Amino acid sequence: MSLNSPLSKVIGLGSEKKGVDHWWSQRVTAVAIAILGIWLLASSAMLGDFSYKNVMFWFKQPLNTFLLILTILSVARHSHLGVESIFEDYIHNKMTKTILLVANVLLHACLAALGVFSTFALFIGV
Amino acid sequence: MHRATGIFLSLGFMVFTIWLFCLLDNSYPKTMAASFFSGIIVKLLIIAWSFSFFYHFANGIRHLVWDAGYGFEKKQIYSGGIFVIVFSFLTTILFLYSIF
Repeated sequence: MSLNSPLSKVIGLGSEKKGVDHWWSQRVTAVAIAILGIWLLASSAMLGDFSYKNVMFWFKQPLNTFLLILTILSVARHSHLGVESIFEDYIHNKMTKTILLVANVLLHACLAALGVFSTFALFIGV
Repeated sequence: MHRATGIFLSLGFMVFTIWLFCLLDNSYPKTMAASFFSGIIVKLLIIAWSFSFFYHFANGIRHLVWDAGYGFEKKQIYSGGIFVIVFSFLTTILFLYSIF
């Protein structure tokens, strides 16, 4: 049951009811990145040097491809939510805020697609 | 600081995905991707991104602990803060030492 009056509903006052989803999503991806991020850094530290040969060999390992795609998706979601909070908190002009929030969604969708596509393409060797 | 490193890491993620895409170009050794790790500016950026990652990682765990309802004593708040700073410096040095 909503305690909002009909007028405040029309004007759009009150909670948007999406806060919990945002909050949980941010925490779950945080834990995922804490694990996957450490794996990625440890894995790159063990690579020796970042020569073409070493890097390409790394991308040919199925487990690396799989975990990197997971990492990219988690980071894209986490970064999307984090930047969204910052725009919501610090940008006060309604028009600018809306434009930035939409741009944020599009940018992170592009980055996720770019990252997943590139990782997979490197694995199969396009 | 958590938000500042977060924004900076978002930019790092953007550069990382573009770098991945650049790897698909077969002329990798000649392009930006190869000289990526040797240039001084990129080296400085990698140092900054490493520190930001470890800081955001440690402070993020601190936030998760707070979310779970622990660590609100004044003493724990201070020791947590010191832990985050010491941890992020040590891990950054360790990581940079192993990649450079």
